[in-house]
Amino acid sequence: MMIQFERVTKRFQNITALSELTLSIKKGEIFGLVGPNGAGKTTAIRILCGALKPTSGRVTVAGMDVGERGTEVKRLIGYLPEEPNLYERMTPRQLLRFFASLYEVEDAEARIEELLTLVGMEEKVDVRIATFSKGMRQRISIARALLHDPEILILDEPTMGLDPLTAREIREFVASFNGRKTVLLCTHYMPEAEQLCDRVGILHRGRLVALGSPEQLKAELEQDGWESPTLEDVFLRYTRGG
Amino acid sequence: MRVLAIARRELWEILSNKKFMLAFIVQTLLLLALLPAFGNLFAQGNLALPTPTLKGFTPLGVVVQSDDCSVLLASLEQNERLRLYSFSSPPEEELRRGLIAGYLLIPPEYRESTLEVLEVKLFLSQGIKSSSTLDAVKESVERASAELAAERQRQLNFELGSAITLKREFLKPVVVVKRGENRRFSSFFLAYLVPLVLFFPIFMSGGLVVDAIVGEKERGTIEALLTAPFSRYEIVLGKFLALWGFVTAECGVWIIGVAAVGVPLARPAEALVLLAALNALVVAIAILLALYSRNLKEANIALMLFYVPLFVALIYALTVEFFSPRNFFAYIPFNLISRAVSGETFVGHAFPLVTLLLSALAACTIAAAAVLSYRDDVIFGPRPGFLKIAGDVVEATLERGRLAGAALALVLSPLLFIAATVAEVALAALMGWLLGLTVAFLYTVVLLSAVVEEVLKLLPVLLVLRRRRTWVSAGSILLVAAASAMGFFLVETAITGFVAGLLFSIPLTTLLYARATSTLVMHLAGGMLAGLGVYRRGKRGFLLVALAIALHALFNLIVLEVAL
Repeated sequence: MMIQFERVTKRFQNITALSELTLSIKKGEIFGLVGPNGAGKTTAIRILCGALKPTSGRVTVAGMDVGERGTEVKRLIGYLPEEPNLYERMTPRQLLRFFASLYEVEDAEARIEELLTLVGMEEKVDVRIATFSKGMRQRISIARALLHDPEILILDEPTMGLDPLTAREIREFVASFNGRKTVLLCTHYMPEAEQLCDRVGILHRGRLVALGSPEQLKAELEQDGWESPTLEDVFLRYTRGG
Repeated sequence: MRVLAIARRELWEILSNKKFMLAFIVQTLLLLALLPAFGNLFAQGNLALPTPTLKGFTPLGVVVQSDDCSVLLASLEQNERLRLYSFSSPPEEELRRGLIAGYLLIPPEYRESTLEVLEVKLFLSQGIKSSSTLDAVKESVERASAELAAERQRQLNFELGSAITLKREFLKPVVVVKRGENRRFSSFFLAYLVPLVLFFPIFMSGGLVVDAIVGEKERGTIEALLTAPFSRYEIVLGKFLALWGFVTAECGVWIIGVAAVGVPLARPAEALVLLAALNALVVAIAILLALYSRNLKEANIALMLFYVPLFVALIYALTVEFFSPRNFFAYIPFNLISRAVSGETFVGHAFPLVTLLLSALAACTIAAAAVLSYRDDVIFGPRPGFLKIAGDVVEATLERGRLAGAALALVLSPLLFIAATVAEVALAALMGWLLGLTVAFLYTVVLLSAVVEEVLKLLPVLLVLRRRRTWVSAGSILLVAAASAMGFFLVETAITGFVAGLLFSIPLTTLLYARATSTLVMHLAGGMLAGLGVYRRGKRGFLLVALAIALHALFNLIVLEVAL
């Protein structure tokens, strides 16, 4: 298993954001973590990235404990946060150079050119990020997440707030990783999860309430008497209890 | 390397902030334009403020190479503003080290029995004391000169009769030649205004620190940093290095600018070293405050609450040092910078000591900030309270074993001593109100203070016993209790020593010997008995605590009897 959550709980004072989460993600799999706002998705991926420490339980990545070997684990992960918050005064090239130095990327200049071309920002390399639209920032964020060629890609709501064209391009981009990289996709946009993910886990109030491939989850609903259910129906059933 | 990468980015962020850089350039240009004008305003002879009286603080070296100078020497000795030290050769080293404010050279050709114009030379260090030293020496020399003139006139009249009049020089036979720079600037300007100007970058750095720390949190850019392959302390350290380096460089630019417009800075390198050390501490504290703040507004308020007392302290310390120098104030960092700028010598080893102390405090503060940055609730919220953080620190320390427990007891002892003092004063006031100032009042207070101190000394032991810990045993509890008692004794001794030295001039060694052979034994025995009592619990435990209090009370009573 590439990623393993073992009974992970995270509390913030009196609030339990994540409760006994146990989950395994295989190498090369695109896994969708879905749930309503406040379900604990971002908390789970922050713990996986080493940005948060679990209150109890442990997370391993490629067999390494995130708490004990955080630095090594972080090298395997490329993280795209929910909001593409970037240093506004910098240009894409400067930003990527900075992160390349942090990740100690070899032949950084060539890699930066390659990635900026890949995300279609080659003409904006020396323009200040402050002038960019959200879609453009998201593309730069993706380039930043891929900079060190990570084995695992964690995408937190990658298409939220984007125009349909950019969202579609990003989805195609994510789909292109299938089998090559392990992808953990956090979203509450069900068609996206259905289209992209090999398996989906539904988080609700910090608990994993459903787990399986979109087909499996829909089939379970069909067995319960639903007609041609969608993943959205599955989601609503588990999160509304309906 | 990663720390440096973060530092470089932070520095780039500051330098690319056009508004800030423009403000900095305008401020620097204004400073350079206005400073000479201020200098002239406060120059001696114009609107010069009075030079401070340094009575009793002006040690003057006297190098006597003549065997005919009794009148001048007598006049110097009579001057209350001077304290004379004799040297056989010019005491250049003593002058450089600041042991003397200057020295007067009485050359072999100075002979009071001749009718020549006599000349002595005064060598002064450049500093705020030089003008008062010169005044004092001039006063003595003029008195001697007048005396000699009168004597010569009397002798000439006797030998030549009244037909011959004295040459003008004869009226002032002794001339003081002062060596040293003719200064355009008054001591007030150099010792007070220029250091104030050099502190500006420190106060201006607040906005930068807030933006670098809270700005990352508010803009959400910190998330990308936290998921990059390095530790949080590297982020804190990298930002600290950039901010500290930048503010110190600002100070350096201002020092160069001030010197460039003709202000004679006596020891700019030493001033810069001190400013760098002070900057390190101020930036570290600002980082700590910013890290704990939830947003920019909160951070700015916290910084304001930190800067205002700092600024008041700066003005107060500079004012006291300037108008009424005291040894204690000579160790305050602001005043050391003032001394480096104005040329006043440092007292003893104040320069290395204070630089080291500031650096050590800065290192401790930045370490605390780094530790704080590892708390998820500080970074992502909800923010914990001070007590929660303190409680977690205590718990984390106690988890490390008995030695950490003993160290914690030592660290807590100043707080426990303050709490004990407050409680004892409150109880004394209450008893005084109830019993009046009678002998019964004295005995009651003495007994109550034993209870208060023994109970408070137990606090570290109670903290240890609050949770089940693997390392807890009778031996480890005795160790923690002994450390608590020892810490209490040390704080008490330090304060008693300070007060006793100040009020009664009791030698420190006498006091230490007396307390080590009596009070220390009482504190250790009482603390360990009470600690063991709390550990054992039950009736026997209670009896042990009661025995500790009784022992302490008995000791207090003996001391009271002796005192009475």
